[in-house]
Amino acid sequence: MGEKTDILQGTLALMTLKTLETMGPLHGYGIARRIEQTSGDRLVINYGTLYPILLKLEQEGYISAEWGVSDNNRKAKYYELTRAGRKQLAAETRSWEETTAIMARFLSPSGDQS
Amino acid sequence: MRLIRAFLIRLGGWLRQSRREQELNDEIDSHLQLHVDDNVRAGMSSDEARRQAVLKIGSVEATKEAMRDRQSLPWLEHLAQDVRYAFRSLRKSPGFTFVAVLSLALGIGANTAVFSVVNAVLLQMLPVKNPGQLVLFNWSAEESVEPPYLSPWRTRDPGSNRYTSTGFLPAALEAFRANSPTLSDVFGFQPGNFYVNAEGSTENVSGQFASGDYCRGMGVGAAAGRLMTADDDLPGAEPVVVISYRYWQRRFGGDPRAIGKVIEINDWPMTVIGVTAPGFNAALQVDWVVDVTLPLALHPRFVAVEHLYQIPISWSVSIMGRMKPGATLEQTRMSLEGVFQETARGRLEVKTLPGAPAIDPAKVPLPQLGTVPGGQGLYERRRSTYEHTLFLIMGIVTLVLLVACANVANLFLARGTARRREFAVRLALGAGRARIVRQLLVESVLLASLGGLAGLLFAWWGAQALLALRPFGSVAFGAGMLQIDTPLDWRVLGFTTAVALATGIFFGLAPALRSTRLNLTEEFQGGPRSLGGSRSTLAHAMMVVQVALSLVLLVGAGLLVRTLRNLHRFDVGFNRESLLFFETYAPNRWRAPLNVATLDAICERIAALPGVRSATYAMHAVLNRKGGSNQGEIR
Repeated sequence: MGEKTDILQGTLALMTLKTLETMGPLHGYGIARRIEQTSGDRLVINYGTLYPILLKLEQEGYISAEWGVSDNNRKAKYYELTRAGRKQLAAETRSWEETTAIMARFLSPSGDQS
Repeated sequence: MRLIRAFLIRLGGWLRQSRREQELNDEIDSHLQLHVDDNVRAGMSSDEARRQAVLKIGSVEATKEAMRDRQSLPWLEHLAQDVRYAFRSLRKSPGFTFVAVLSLALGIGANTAVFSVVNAVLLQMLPVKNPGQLVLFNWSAEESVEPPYLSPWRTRDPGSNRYTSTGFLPAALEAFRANSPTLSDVFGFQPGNFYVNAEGSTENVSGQFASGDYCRGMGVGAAAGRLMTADDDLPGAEPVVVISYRYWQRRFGGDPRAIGKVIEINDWPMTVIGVTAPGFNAALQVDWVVDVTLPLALHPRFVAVEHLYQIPISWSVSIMGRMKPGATLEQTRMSLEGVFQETARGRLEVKTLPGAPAIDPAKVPLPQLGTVPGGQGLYERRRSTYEHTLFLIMGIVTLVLLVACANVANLFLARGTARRREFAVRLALGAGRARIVRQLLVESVLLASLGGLAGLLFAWWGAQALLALRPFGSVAFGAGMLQIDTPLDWRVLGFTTAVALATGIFFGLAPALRSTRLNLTEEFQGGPRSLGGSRSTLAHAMMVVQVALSLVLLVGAGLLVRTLRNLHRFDVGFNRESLLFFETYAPNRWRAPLNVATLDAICERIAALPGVRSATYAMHAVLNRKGGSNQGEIR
């Protein structure tokens, strides 16, 4: 596995929202796996850290939760993006892109001083 | 919004802890189960699958703890703990608690009492629909320009040679009503003093004349019967009167049969048609009680009868309006300024210095119209008579509260010394200093809250006592006594809460910080010692503050008493001993005025009473600004 990447809480929340947007309703374990896979296994997370984030997002109304049954007949709590969550995802994506763009310009070796 | 939502959910989580806990466990279990299934599918043995899954999820307890903190409000839990603990510790020392609560109750109670009067006199809005839409008109003019027959209220504008008045000609009311694009209602009113004869007894009652659309425009409801309409205010209309809820209760005992009853006002039969909503005391000066409201159309006749001759129409009507939604005071003023000046043209006098050339009446500088928020009614009297006195009293009671604070802080400091061992043990066991300080603050705020609650009781009669003492100087005219309700509304309760909280933190913080600054090693090696140097500095400082403030209050009170004694000793030029005053109101005053023969007869009867040395009568009693009194001397 690749080296451990320290991820900020806010980033993990954004990844969770994005995952739910792509995958539709999903349980916590599924979200964690999906995030790891999408990162090409370069991100290693303690699955446990995801749950407080899910709870926070649920309290803020960005996702909703409901108990359901998984493909292999296991009871699991499924999370789904709400409309507010979609809006929040769009807003956060935009601001994240802006941040990375700024950082990229800042750190690029040939960046002009203008 | 989101934060509030999350807060409410967490508050709910705090109330349903066991269910949330269960759900949390279920979710972790379900997660592990899913992971184990996956691992088994990938070919692991079930033990290895479980091991890997548990490894991957990380510390389950840490996760649960993080979720618990997020599900509920940890600070709220701690606060609840602290409050319970504070209750226990206060109950253990009832003497301390009693003294502290009593001092605080007096301090907070005095403040609340004064504030509830401030609230009622200076802050409260009229109890009507949307008082914010009401606009009160006034005008200002140069001091040399003056209309004849102006109502007595005028305020000199500071720093200029202009004055402001709220008295208008009745014609202005008509003109405003006809030309007001921004107003949905325009109405006028003016004070009146009446002799009301109901069920055989006559009494002097203060009230007002009001235009027919007054009640609708003001937005006041009826407690019984119906209120005045524009039709009641026409010149030939059946004379009617609307009474206040207060007067209905006092004079008619709240009897619904009072509606439709015919009473005599200044010997004029009038039908009582309704009662205004409870608590409504019209928009006149704050100490003018409005118990009866008569149609404005009757005003000229009342005035003519009283003065026995026809007087010109005076500038005495106050005008208010209700703005349409979205309209502003300035728009209203601009749209009516010209209209107003038209009504004033040619009806003004100019005072000229002797010898100076007379000014052409056509060239008199016209007064300017002004608009102010009308939600509190006429305001001049509040400012001129009550504002300063109330702020002065407020300052005094604040000092009282400070003394109480210093007193309780000292008690707390002593208590902190006695509890050193307890704090030392808790610190040694790993409690943060912040936590202990917070715990002590909770204790002091709790104490202050108890003081605040008890203070509300003090305030309840304190406010009435304050009004009964009449600390507002002489009253120029009117009913003479400030009769207001001092309800415990949200403003007063908010004030008390804020004062209690601030007090609690104010007197609790310094002792709390001081008593938790401990050197643990010394504490356990040497045991609790007597007061250290720096501690006594704080205690001494408190004591100095307390004594200094008490001294200020004591000197102030002493001077006040001395002034009162001097006033009492003042030689008024006649013998004040054994002198008794009483007033009479003649029934049928206008049909058969009280003549000298009747008064002589009354005096003779009084003088014949045993113990009366002599009796006399006067239109105005000595040292009294109200007229119509008899005096008797009793020995």
